[in-house]
Amino acid sequence: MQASARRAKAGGRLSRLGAGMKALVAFLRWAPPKVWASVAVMGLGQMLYRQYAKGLIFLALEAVSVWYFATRGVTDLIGFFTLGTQQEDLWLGIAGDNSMTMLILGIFAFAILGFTAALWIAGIRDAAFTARAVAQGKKPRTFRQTLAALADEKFHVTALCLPLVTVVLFSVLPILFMILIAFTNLGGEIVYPKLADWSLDAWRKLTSVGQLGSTFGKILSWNVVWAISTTLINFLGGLSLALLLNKKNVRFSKFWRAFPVLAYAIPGFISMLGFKFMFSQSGPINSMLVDAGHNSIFFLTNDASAKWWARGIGLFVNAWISIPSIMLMASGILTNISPDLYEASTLDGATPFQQFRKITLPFVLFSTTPVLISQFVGNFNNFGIFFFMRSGVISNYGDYFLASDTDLLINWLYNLSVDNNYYSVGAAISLVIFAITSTLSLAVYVRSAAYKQEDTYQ
Amino acid sequence: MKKTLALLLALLLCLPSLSALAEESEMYQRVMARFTGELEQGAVVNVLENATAIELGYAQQLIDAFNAAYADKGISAQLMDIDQYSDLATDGPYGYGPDVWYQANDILMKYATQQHLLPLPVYGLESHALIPQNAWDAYKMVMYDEPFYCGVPINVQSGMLFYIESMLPDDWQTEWDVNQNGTPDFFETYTALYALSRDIQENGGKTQYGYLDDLVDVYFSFGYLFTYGAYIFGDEDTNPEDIGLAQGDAARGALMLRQWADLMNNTEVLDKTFASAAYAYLAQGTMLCTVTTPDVRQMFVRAMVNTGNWTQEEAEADLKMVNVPRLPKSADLTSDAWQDTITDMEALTVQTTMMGGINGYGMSAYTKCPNASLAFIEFATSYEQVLVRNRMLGISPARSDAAAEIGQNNPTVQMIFDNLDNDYIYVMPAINETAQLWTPGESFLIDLCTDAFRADRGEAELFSTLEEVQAGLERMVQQIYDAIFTLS
Repeated sequence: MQASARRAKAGGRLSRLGAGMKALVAFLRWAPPKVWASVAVMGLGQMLYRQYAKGLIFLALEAVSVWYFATRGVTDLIGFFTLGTQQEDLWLGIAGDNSMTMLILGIFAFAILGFTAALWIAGIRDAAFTARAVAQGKKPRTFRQTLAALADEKFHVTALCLPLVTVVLFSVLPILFMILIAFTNLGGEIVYPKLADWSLDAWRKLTSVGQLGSTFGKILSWNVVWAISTTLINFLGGLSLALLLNKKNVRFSKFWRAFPVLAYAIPGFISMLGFKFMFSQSGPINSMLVDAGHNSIFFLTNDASAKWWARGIGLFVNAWISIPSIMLMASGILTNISPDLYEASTLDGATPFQQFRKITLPFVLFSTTPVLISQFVGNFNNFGIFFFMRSGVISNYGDYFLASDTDLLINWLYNLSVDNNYYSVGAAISLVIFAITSTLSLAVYVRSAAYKQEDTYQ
Repeated sequence: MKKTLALLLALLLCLPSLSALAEESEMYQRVMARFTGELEQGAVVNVLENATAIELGYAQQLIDAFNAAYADKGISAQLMDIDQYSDLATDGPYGYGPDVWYQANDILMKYATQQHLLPLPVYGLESHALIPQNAWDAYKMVMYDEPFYCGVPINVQSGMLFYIESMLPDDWQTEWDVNQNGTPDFFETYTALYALSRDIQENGGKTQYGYLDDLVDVYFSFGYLFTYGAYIFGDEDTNPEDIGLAQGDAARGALMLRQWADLMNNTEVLDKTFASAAYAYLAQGTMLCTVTTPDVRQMFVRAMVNTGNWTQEEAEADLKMVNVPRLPKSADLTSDAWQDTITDMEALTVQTTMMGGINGYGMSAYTKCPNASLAFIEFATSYEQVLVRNRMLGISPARSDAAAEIGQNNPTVQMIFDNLDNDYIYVMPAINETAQLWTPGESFLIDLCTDAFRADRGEAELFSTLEEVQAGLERMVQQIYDAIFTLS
C-alpha cells in the first residue's frame, strides 16, 4: 500500500516536470523577436514595445549588475572557491587575502547573481506578457499602468519584495555562512591571517571514533535527556502550581502567586550565581551539613560523584527559573475552560483525575504545544545554566574532550569555538543542533492537536 | 649603595642587548622599517589600560602626563572606553581595537603568533638594559627564524604569602624562631608552616587554621611542580609538543598538595570561589596566612577595616606580605623535623619556584601610528612613570632601577624583582597554546586534592601512591596536548 503511494507520488512529480519542460519548449518556439531581445539585453524588449521607463529600469539594473561583476563580483565568486591565495604578512606589510571575508563576499556575490537572474527572468516574463497582450490586439501597458498593477493585482509582489530581500540579507546569508563554515578548516591555527580551505575535516573529526567523537556522543545523549526532562518538569511544575493556585479553597492565592512571579522577575543569571554559591564547597548548604556532623557533598566540583548532583541541580535551577512563566501562562489558559465542562463531567461521575486527564490537560496542551516546542528548543540550547554553574570544569574521569559531564552541546560548542577558536567544528555542531531541534520540533508540532485540529477551538 | 648596585646591574644587563644590536639582520630591519622615528602628526594613540589602573586614576594620570609632554610634538593619547580585554584577532582587521594595550604577557602574546601584535624595536628603548632577560623572554617570539619582542615589560606578578602580624601566635618569638632571625620560622619553610598549621588545628590558637588556601588554582599550585623539575613547554617554553608538567619529580611535588588538602580537611579549598572568601577569612581570623598576588592587597585591607577591628592605617600596617616559604628537598612536608629545616635550611630545603606573569605594553599590528604608539610605550615604561604606577597601584616593577628605588622602603618589591631575576618566578610562556593549560590543570588539581576526602566517604582513593599521581599528571599532560592538537 505504502509502496504504491510512493510510486504514485514519484509519478506525479515526473509528470509535473514533463509538463514544465513542455511549456518551456512551447514558450521558446512561440517567443517573438522582441521577447528574445529581452533575453539578450534586460529591458530591450520592453523598449522595443515602447515601454521606455520600464525598459530603462531593467537596463539600469543590468548595468549595475554588470558593473558589480566586472569590478569585484567575479573576483568574489572566484574567491569563494579558493578562499584566498596570498597570505597576508602583517609584520612585513605584505597585503593578502582574508578567507573569512572572501567567504562572506562570495556568498554575497552569489546572492547578487541570484537576484540578477531573478530580475532577468522577470524581464523576460514581462516582455512575454506584453507580447501576448499585443498579439491579442491590446496596447502595451504604460508605465503608469504598470505601477498601478503593482499596487493592485500584483500587490503581493510589491508587498513581499522588501521583506524577502531583508530576510535573504539578514537571515539566509548569515545562516548560509554558518553552514559553509562547517565545510572549511577554519579555526585553531587556521585563522586570519592564515588562509583557510574547503574541507570535511570537521565532520570527519566529529563522527570519528576518537576522543572528539566519543565526547560528542556522550554530550548529545545527555543533551536529549536534559531537554526532554527539563521541559517536562517545567511544564508539569508550572501547570501544577497554576492548578493549585486556581483552587478556590486556597486562601490568599494572590499572595502565594507573588512568590513565583518574584523568582521570575529576578534576572536568570543572578539566580544561577546565587544557586552556584549555595551549592559551592563554601556555601551555606555544605556549611549546614558539616555543622550537623555530615561530610560536605561535592555538588558542583570535578569529582565523579558530582555528575548527577550537578545535573540534578541544573534541572532544579532551570525549574526555579522557568516554572513561574509556565504557571502564569497556564493560569491564563485555565480561566478559559468553561466550568460547565467540569460540572457536566462531575454529574457523569468523573473523578478529579479523570477531569484533569480528559478536560484540563488536553485543553492546556492544545494551547501550549507551540510554547512547549519553543521551550524544548530553548532548553536544548540552554547555554546559561551549566555555563554559570560549572564553567572551568572538564571531567577527568569520563575522558571528555574540553567538556564536563554536565555540558550541553551548546556549552561544548562555546568551549570549542569561542574559547578555542575551533570555528568549523563549532559550526558543524551547531548544524547538528539545528537538525535535531528542527526535526523534533516539526515532528511534535505536526502530530499535535494544535496543528491537526486547528479549527476545533476557534 | 643600592642605586650603585642597580646601575652596575644595568650595565651588566646592557651587554646582551649591545650584542643583539650588532646582530640586527636584514629581516629585522625590514620588520622594523615602520619605526622611522618620525611621529605621525595629529595621531591620537588609543590606549587600553587595565580596569584597576582606570579605577584608581593611574591611567588618566598617565594619559594627561603624556599629552602634556608631547603637546608640542603633534601627537596625543586617549583612553579607550571599552572593557580591559580586546580581541585583536577579530576586531583588529576591521579597524577596531587599541593601538597600545596593557595586559599580562600570556594574554598579549596569544595575539603575537598570528601577527596581530607588532614586534617592537626594543634594543633601542631606554628601559631595555634595565629589564631582566627573563622578563623580556615573556614577550619573545621567533618568526622568520629570528627572535622578536612583542611587548615591553612593566611589572611582575607572582604569588606572595599574606598574613596579619597581630594574628601571629603569641609565643612565636620563643617557640617559632629557632634561628632567631626575627622572621617566624613558619614563613621560612613549608615544613614549619605545615607543623604550625597542624598545631593550630589540633590545639587551637588565635586563628582556626594556620595556612589555608585554594589548592586548585593552577597559577599558585603549579609552583609545587616547577620546584621539582616540571616545566610547561619544552625548548624554553616555545615547543607545545613537549609538555613537561609530568617531568622530573613533579609527582612528588604534587603529593604535597594532597598532604595540604589532608591536613586542611576543608572542602572549601577544592573550589576556586575560596579566593573571594579568602579576604574575609584572613581578616576574621579563620586562617593565619594564604597565598595570592600582590595586586589584591587592598582587598585584604578593606576586609580588615570591614571587621571594625582595624582602621585603614592600622590595617595597612598590620597586613604583611612575604615571599612564599621554601619547600622541602624531600618533597614531603612531614619527613623532616621542622626545626631542622630552619637550622639546616640549605641542605634540607629548596627555594620555591612560583608561576608568574609579566604585565606590559604591546602594540596592535593594525595601528595607523606606530611611531606615536612607540613614543607612548616609551613614556609609560619610563622610570618616572613606573614609580608613579607603583605609588598608585602597588605594582612590582620589572625595571631594575625602579625596583631598587622602591625596594629601599618596600623590601617586598625588591624581593619579587630578585625572584624574577633569579628564575624563581616561572613566567607564563609567550605562546598562545598556554591558553589550553588552565582547564585541564585545574581539573587535575581538583581531582588530586579531592582524594584526601575520598576515604572518609567510603570511596576508593585515586592518588595514594606516587605512581598514581604520576599517572594523573600524565593524563593531564595528554589532555593539554589533545586540546592543542586534536583539532588543529
